[in-house]
Amino acid sequence: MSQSLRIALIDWNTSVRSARRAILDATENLSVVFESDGRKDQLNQLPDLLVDVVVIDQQLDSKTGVDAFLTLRQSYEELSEVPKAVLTTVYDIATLRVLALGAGMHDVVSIDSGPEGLITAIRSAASAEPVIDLAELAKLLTETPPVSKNNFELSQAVIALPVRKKGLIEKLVEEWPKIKDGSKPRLTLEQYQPLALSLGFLSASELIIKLMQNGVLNAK
Amino acid sequence: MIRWILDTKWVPEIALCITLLAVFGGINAITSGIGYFLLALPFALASLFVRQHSYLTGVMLLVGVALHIGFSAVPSFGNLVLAVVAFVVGVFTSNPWRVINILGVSAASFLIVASASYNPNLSLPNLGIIEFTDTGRLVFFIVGSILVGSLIGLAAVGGRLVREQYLQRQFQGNRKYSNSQQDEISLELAEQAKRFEMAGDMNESAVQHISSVITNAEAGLYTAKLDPDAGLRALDKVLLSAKAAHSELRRLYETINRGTIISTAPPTLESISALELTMREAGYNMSITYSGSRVALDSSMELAIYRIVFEAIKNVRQHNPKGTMVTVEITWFETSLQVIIRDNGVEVVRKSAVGPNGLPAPYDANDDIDNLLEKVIGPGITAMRERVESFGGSLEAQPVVGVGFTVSALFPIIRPKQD
Repeated sequence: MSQSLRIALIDWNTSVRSARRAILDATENLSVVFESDGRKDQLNQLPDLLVDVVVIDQQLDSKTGVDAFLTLRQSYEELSEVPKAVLTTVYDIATLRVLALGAGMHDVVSIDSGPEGLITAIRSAASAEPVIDLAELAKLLTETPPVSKNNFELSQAVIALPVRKKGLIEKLVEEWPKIKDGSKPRLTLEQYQPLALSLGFLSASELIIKLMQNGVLNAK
Repeated sequence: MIRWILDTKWVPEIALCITLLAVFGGINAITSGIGYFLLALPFALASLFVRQHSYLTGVMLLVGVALHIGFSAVPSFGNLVLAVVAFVVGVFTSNPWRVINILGVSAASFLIVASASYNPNLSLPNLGIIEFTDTGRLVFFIVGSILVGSLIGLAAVGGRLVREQYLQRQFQGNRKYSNSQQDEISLELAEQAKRFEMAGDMNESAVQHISSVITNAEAGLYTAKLDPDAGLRALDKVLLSAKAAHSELRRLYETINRGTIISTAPPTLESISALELTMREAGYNMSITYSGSRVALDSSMELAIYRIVFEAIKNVRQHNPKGTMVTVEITWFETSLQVIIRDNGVEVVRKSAVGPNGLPAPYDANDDIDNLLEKVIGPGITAMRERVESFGGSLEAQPVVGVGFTVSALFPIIRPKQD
């Protein structure tokens, strides 16, 4: 018998939260170990609960789900300890998806996806299986470009990378215009996962969005 | 007067013509005989055509001058009609006939002066000039021309001045009208903006409810799979219709909130306490009191109450000095919930302005009457009223003489029946 995934449910709407709890509790190998409406004092308890996946709604009591997750990940001492996050939302919009992926969240699940969609997202988050490939990410970022944000530390970190890792970024910079134009990428997001972790990001998607925000991917 | 003249055809001209003939022709007849009365006739008729058939004004002037020269007439009071014609042309005639007719009047005047200067019938000694020489006639012509030129010029410029003043007044009137129209549109726009905000709030609340319905229905379906029963099919139908409603609401929400992304949860009654701190930070005192037995409210009603309190205290900050006290009273009755927001801004101002006797500036019965009669309007108040009325409630907003302003909202509530 495999071990159950430990889930944290964070949602301002009590009724929706209890319904989701009923769904997750009725699902094999999933158990809800934490529930909250998103208040900071409650979220501070999360690092001690060894949660595998955080299911967090975009609409919380005092801030948005994306902002709450950004705060939450800072309360973990090690990046590897941060649980994978699935953002639930009333409906999936591209802007929100870019925001969530840029914050290091694993996936966005809208109410239209139903219980199966939520469970699939939770399981894929727990197994760190990417839900989007490089071509899809490039398409998303072309249609909904993230807001430019200069990150000097990231620029410095990229410069200081060993030659082989820096080569990966140079290759991405070179390939990016072609991928954006619809060419089949020769690179995969999985290739960038270790690099993302070494630069302090939770996922390869987050790394690519941050590179784009910093203007690295648009550099000629 | 000018408006009436502009709007009426011929009658003003005929009246002017008869008046000029009666006054100046009459003086001519008395002083110089009936012949001079007839000499004034063409110049009076010239005023008849200043607005319509303006070329006839020039013709009449020409006829008048020809008669003058033909009969070797000397200058008379009747010639002053020319100055009146110049004035009327300045007021009512448009270019190019204005310029042509003023030049025509000037030319007619100079010709009359020239004719008079060399007229053998003119008795110069009567005018104080002893020497009846060529030089004397030349001096008479020059002085006369200058005087006549000045008089005609003055009359024409005076006419223009009257016209410009009229146009200016008309422009000011139009501007006032346009400003009042603009104010009305601005007010309407502000009210629309508030309604738009309300619609967004209501819609967001509805989306939340429907989301809850969908999630619960899905949970029912999902868990029932472990223990299937007949309720499954019914639950399925609920889910389908709820999803359809959700899609419709979502489209509406996207239209209203285009360009925005989902924000934080809507405020509740508890959120009002946070406003207290904000007001204190801004230099205002605020207190909130709750009384009566509370009952659970719909989240959209809680949001409406929050918005009303927020709008009311925003108004306090806009219109009153720092140090003003705001009290928010939330009272639960058996069938209603009353929210009262009072401020003492007027009292604070009154106390800071000390009168001549060293006491705060007083207020009298007239202030009382003004307050009772004053109708409080504005987009904020309208939006607050519409919010309350959408729940079947009512809102009163009234200044309190010598104290400040009070907003009172009454919401109907339904208490759950106790067995």
